[in-house]
Amino acid sequence: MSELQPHIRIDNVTKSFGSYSAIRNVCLDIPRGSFTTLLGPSGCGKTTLMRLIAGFDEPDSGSILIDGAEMNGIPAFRRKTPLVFQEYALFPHMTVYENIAYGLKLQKVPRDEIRRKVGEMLEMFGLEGLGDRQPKQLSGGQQQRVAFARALVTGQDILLMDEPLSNLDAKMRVEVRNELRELQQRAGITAVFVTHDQDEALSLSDRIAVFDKGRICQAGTPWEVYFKPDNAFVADFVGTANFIPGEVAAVEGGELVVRCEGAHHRVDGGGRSFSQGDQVTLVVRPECISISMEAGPEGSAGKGWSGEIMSSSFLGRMVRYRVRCGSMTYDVDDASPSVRGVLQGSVRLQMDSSKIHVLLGSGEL
Amino acid sequence: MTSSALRNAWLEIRKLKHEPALAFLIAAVTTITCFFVLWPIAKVVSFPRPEDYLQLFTNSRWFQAALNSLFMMAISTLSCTAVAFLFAYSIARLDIPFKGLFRFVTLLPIVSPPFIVALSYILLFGRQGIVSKQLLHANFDIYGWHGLWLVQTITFFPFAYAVIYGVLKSLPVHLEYAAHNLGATRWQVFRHVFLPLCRPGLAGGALIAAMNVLADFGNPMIIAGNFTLLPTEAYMQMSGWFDLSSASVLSTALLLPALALFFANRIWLGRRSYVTVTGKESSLKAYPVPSYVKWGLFACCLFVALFVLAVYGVLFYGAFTKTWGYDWSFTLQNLKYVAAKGTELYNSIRYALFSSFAAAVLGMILAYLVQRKRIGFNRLLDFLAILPGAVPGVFLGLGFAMAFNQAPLDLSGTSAIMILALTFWNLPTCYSASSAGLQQIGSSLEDASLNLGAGSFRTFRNVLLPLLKGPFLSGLSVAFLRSVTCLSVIIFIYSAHTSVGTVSILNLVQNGAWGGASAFTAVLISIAFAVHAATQLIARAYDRRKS
Repeated sequence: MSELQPHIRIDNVTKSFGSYSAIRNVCLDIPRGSFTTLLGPSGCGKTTLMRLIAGFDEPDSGSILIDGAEMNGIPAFRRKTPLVFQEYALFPHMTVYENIAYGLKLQKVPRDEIRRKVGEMLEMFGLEGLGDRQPKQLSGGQQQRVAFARALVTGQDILLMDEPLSNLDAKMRVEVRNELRELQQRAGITAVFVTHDQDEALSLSDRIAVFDKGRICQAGTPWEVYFKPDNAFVADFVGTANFIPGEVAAVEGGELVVRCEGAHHRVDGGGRSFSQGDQVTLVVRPECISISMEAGPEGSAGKGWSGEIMSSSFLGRMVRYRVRCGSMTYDVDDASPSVRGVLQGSVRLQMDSSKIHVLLGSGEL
Repeated sequence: MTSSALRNAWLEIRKLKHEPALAFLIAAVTTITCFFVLWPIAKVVSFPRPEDYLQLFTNSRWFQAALNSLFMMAISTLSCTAVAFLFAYSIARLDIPFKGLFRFVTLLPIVSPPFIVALSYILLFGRQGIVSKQLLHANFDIYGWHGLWLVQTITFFPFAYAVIYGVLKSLPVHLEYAAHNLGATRWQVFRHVFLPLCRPGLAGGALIAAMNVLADFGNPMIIAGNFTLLPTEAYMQMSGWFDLSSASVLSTALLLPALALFFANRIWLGRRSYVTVTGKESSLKAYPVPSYVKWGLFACCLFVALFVLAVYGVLFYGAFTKTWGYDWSFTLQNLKYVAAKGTELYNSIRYALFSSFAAAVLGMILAYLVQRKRIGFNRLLDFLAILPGAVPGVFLGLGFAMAFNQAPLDLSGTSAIMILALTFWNLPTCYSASSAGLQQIGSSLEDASLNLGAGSFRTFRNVLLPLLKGPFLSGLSVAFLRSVTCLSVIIFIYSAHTSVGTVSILNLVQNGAWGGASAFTAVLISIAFAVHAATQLIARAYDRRKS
């Protein structure tokens, strides 16, 4: 088995339910020991792909390989792909202990060993003394840990997770996120994580596959997906983006000069080929634009554009402004708000050209 | 369209070759269900020649029976729905005493033998009736449509009540407050908001009542006199002249409206949607009604309740009275009748136990296959499982008598045919209970079990079976009660050895042996209730252990 072989390979998989096509021609390699997130809006096909990996459904065409072995036709209960369900799916007629032990019991593990392994899991997840409880007697957070313990106890090297954090409150979610990442790295398991929450995806993953309408729009590291989105959908779904239409004025080596809104920007072409006259869209993150009060009565003195603040929302660590410049409206973040309050009136915006990303085309979603 | 559906079904079926045991189970269950549901129906419908069916319109006696059946159905449905609404409204919305009693009254007739109200009616108002003869010294002719109307109303309003109450209870009260807030008077709120929201419940209740009245055999048999109806006329043709063809024609004439009502009800229930369950407004109390309305409704409920209690009281009184109408002294003599008919009683219990258990098991398997497995013909299997619920008991009995009296399966006169007929008659009840239970169990539980390494059968055993115990037991218990008290299905298939309690009671009634009939009925009800109570206790003990 070569180190380069992906742990899970999705090879040109298509699946439809009746006339609704859930995923189309999806290809994805999931490296061993990686944390891979399937990210997308609801109905994009990410959960369908997860269910195909677990074997609850069979693909219409294409194949799924685990460790190079074809999984098509192998029933779910022989796949060894433990899954943490969104609603946990704890058996209501079994105690916490019985829930965790169930998988081991099916493998006919000796009773003493079951006791030892379940005990380890209870300890690891801070559930000591709760083994005799019924699932409904536990809090949401505790139930979720039982679900994780039940999936991990059999010691498989794959862990599938279907939005496992979505039923937790906001603060808890961030805590569990960190624990989860730590656990995955310590155990060295290959984790596949489904979510619609971009923060979760960015903070947890080694790799993110962004889904839309049954296709993968982009697969890459969180860094790539955030700063170098392949298309407008990815740019818009992951984080917030300003889309500025422009035209390529000149190509100079790997760099482009793009004219938009009457100004010229020198930006990195990202290794893709553009030619003069191409219609392009600049993708600029709100935090890549700096905002300051208009310096003097003569706007022309400073660099950048002048604009008018239309509204602002205070988020604690930063303030997000909506600024009107000519016909465009920009989302701009001020990462160090002044204690005196939000800015008002005329302001000056400046872009950090090094963080501008260029997309070919008019930027329609 | 059809061909692509067939092709899809075929694809699903072919996938089953990975699970041979499951495929075998599906094949076995489907074959059995087809054989015992479709075959008897086909047999009855196809037996008469086409021209025999024309007699329905040319034979004036039959035509009259058909008209009578429809007429009785119409007026009884109206009265049942009205009384049911009265009870449902009073219990759900009014702050009145004796609600426990009223609930009890709406439960009693459901779990009693079908002809008990007719029997009591004779004991109360008949020629030797305790009210007519002893209190009023009058002599009215109670046999005929008006007597039957009253009896059917009392017997079947509880079925409509169950549906209407279910809808009323879940109506959002805050809508009425909103209407009051906008300036509507009580009467306007009732007419513009409350009644329209009740309409699905009223329609559903009316359909249930209509189905039951149309198919009923026991009450008309005892009380209708010369007012012939389709089920009784079919029975006359069969028992009097052994005229299979005529019995088939009359039963088929009964089947068509019954099927129409049944499927109207299914569709209606499927659409009943604007009852929103948000769980938010549960603490709101209904807006109080004026006290004269409240106590007026209370008086009506009390009157009906007392009447129902009288029905049962007089029965137990009759069981211990020497000669009804002449000698009111206490006796245990009547119980001797019961003792003499020990075999019949034993048969009743035995058949009910076997058939209810078989129906519960088969119902659960069918519900599981239909809901949880993609087998290509789920809709067909679902249809087969509920179809016996649409078939009038008399028709089903006749079907079994005609389908299983020769090769390939000759069961005439055996216990097996009694058990099988009752099993399939009760199948829809058990199937629906299991189905509803399954719907409450999220499919992710089974996915979780599969994911942890359990196959289909182990998942069923370890996860679904323990969770379905409740629905299984409740289906079993209702099926048992229905079997013990069933008359219509078995009237065509019992033999001297396999006769049951309800048949004996009918014979006693027809011979005017009121005391014996009362005693027998009282014993039958007591046994049925004892078994019912026992299963309830088991279910409750199980619940308590669980929590």
